[in-house]
Amino acid sequence: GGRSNVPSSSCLSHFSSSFISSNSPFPKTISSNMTSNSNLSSMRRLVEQLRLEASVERIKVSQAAAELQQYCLQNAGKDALLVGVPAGSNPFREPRSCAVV
Amino acid sequence: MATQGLQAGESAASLKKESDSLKKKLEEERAKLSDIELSQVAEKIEVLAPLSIKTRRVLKGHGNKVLCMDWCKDKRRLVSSSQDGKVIVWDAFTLNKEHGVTLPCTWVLACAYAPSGCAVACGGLDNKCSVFPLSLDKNENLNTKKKSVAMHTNYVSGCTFTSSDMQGCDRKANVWDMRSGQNIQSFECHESDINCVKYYPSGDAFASASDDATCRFYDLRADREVAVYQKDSIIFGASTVDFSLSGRLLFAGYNDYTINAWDVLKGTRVSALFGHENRVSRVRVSPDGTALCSASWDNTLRVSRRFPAQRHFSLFICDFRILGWFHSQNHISFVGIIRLEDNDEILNNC
Repeated sequence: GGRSNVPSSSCLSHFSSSFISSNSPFPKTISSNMTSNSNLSSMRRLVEQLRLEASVERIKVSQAAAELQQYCLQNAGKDALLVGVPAGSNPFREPRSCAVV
Repeated sequence: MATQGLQAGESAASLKKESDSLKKKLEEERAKLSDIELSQVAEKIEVLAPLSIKTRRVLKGHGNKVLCMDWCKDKRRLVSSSQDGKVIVWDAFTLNKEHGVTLPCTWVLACAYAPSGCAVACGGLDNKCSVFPLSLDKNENLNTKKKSVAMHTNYVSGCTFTSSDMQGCDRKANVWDMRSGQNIQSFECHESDINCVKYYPSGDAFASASDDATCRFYDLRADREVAVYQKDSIIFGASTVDFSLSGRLLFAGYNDYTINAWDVLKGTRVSALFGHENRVSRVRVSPDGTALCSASWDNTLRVSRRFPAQRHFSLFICDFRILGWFHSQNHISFVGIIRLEDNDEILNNC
């Protein structure tokens, strides 16, 4: 399948372009006399967003990784795709039957 | 456009300066806390053996690409939507199509099963999110009970009953606070578009699938990417991801028709699952974690499960009854009957 199979390309491109433009308001070059008000306000939004993101409290990767690992190991026993399930609890079980070999 | 004028001391240059310095600070802060790799932390834990996951059911009925699916909480039913404009509710065990509805548009890109099991929602190029209450009467025309709950100005790419709060349509993954509508964190790592994001079961992290042929894993508390799942041999984009119940496995569907199972902690590929004959559009682990359903552009859905762990042999022996035997000089043969506790699984294992 190539990318040409993606739904009605005009929809998609409209969608992505509107999304990108609203999320990357940062112009590559700024010349003071060209700067519009809308440009300024989107820059202000960006700065506010960055301030917020910079103020996020973080933990060390080692701590986060240890906790992620702990969650996996604690729940591994219940993970049927990881360790399999007892046949009795299998919702896809077929009715009992016999086979001659 | 006379918008809010410049605040005191503010100018385009000062805003640019501040955003640059904030970006730099963000990078530095994130780098500072990156003291170890996730795979290094997971070095000591056991390596996973290849998964013996096999397709148990193939759901055929859509006339075109299957674009989305969702499990019902009863672990058995599922809803799927297709490019042909149809939405089908299946019993994944008996393969019965319990309900079917044709939407007035093609490309039904999203569908979801209500937690109650009493309704399904879907949407697509009709720019609407429609909800269909399900009834026991299978002959009833669901279209008569259709309720449109949301109108969008463009197509619906995702819908769910438990309001997911993340999205990615460009190269960024954003985390949103549903209450305030505020974007709290954003992560920009992929080299191409992000197709799918999914929370880690503990809620502290999430994974993304991208057109750049990688899947990535981000921790929200560390505020950074902690793992990349990639291989030189994987060159096609990943379209969908989901975690196993414990979060140890990450299933990712690719445009090269395969599903790869990644060890989330070690960052290695555990298994590759084959079977689909076109792109995999969606993978979803069932609510009890026992089955994996994949939807594909080959017009089918596949439900895959794993063998019970190391049980076959003992079961085999204790249910074996000898009916008679023949013997020749060198060996004895016998005829017996085996009661199959779990027909499907043992036959597949024989």
